[in-house]
Amino acid sequence: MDVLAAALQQLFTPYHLMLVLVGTTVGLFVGAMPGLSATMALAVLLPFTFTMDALPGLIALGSVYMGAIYGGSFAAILINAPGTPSSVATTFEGYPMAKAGRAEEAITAATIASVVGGLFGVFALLLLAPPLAAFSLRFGPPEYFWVAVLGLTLIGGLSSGSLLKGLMGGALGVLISIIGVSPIGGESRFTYGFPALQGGVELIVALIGLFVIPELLVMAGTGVGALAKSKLGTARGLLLSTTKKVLSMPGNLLRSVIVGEIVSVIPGAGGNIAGLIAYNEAKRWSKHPEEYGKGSLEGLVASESSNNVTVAGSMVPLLTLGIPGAPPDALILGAMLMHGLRPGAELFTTQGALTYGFILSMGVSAIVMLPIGLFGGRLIYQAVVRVPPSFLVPTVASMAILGSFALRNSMTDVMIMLALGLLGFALKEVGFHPAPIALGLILGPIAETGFVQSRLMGSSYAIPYLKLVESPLSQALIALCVLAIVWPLVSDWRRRRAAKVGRSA
Amino acid sequence: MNTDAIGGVLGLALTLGFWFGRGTWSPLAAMFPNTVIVVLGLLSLALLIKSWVRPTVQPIFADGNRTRMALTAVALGLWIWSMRWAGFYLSSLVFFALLTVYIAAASRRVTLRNVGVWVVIVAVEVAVLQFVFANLLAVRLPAGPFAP
Repeated sequence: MDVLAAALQQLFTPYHLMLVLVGTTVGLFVGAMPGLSATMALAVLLPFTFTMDALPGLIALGSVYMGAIYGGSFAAILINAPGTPSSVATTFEGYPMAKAGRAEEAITAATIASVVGGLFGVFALLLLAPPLAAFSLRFGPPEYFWVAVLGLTLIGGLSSGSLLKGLMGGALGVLISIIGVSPIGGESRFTYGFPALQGGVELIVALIGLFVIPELLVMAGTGVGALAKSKLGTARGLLLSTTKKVLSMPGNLLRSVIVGEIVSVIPGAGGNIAGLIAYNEAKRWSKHPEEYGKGSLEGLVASESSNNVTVAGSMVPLLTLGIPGAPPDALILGAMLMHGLRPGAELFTTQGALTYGFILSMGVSAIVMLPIGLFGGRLIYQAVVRVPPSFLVPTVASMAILGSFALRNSMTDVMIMLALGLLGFALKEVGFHPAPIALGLILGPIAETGFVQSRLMGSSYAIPYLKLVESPLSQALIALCVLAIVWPLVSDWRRRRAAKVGRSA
Repeated sequence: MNTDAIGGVLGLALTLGFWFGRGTWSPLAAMFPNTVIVVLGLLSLALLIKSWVRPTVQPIFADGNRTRMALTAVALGLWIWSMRWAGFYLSSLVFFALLTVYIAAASRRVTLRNVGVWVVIVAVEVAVLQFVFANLLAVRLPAGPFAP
């Protein structure tokens, strides 16, 4: 308790609070731009933190990280572009809500859900860091493979209409993710003689193409902005009513933040997977699954609350074991090492005030997101609604081009973005939703690496693939995979039987 | 249109594209992609069979003017292609302005004065984007003929 009191005393100085405010704001606006990820924001900021003391440097980085993950929801809601990969699932409900004239409600709900998620992540980090770190260490290649397979079972929930097309989309996403140098052996695959393809397809480049380009073409074709139904100045009382709606789904919130926490402590998973799993679980347990894909507030809340848990959640393996679970964490680790801070149990004792000060600053950042997010979100929303489609289409197109280019300063990435966008548009027209393709892209590399490494680990076995099913955790994950496949079939059968009984009665 | 049949054919085309894109890889590098290609091929065949048994029929490219959608796609391609040699600013200025005028002309009468005002707005907007990305975020945008 003394350490916490000292941490609070260190944190609540005007300088540190200003850093939280500025960091969260900067992160929010960077995250709102498609293609500018939290990693990029932190990479730009990192050199400036070297001249700061350890605590203010870490506070600035943590706040930018928190703001950027939340900021990704703005682009997802307003232009169907996941601002960061973590907000992929936010597009599924946020954009339909915006198209139906409920953009402000969606932004408000995303803000409240993100605040709840951010705060839960901080509390979990404060209270449960050691056991969660031990749990994360139990994940080896076979378990990673099954986590990816479990993720791929989400396709059933995301394919909206045809399961067959959803599965095809997932397989296509996995194949696109394979393009480039193989993770084991370093061989070039599917490069078709173009050396530029050796770098592979960046996830965010593919997401921008698949989600943004089809919407742009439809907007150009209809000559109507996507948010044409929105009316400005109708938001009176919206904050209170949306807060009530969000907080009236405690089960959904709790389930989503727990999913976010579990996924985030597994190094290499992250906000995108957490958001997708939480979204799918929300749909699975919903009383109104038919509303999903048409602007369901539940789905939006699930995605946004879980992805913001991952900011503090991914600090569990980082601060306790020195394992960065996601690229932004690696940058924070770099800043810690620059200041002579070594991750581990000692960090919480010898540098307790500093470590807890950093953790608590993320909680303050989550709270600060509420006013900044509501104000900033409204500004961005008003700009998008006021801009006529003739300006909106080229503006969003230039953001898509810049966002794709900025990741690796590569025109090849921009061309890949457009090619995938046109392919995604053609596929969407014949009933392929982009979500399963995105899922395949995200999970493909995790599945392949886990599969091949497990095969290598089992080389001494008579049947090498037995390594995949050996550990109790693998077996538990397999059981979850089976449950994830069987449960929707059983509930669908029960629903049909109930309807049949109802008709005959 | 029978969208299942089109989807199945597209799936098979993509399967063949990936199949013939394979190289002489080691077994460990080939194992996973080969499996996924076969899965995609089988799913595509299943969709083709479904298209005969229980087809999904719906209109395609019906959300708006098809010519405008196609020309916008072509303009996006030319925008990106020209950026390599004309640089970000010049190519964006030209194609941003062209798209603005083209899409606006679909819903209203565009006068020469409108075009003049829009070109000025576009010039400022592209300059702001260039400044934010190149100067604040240190992204090395294609410079084109204005390279220092």
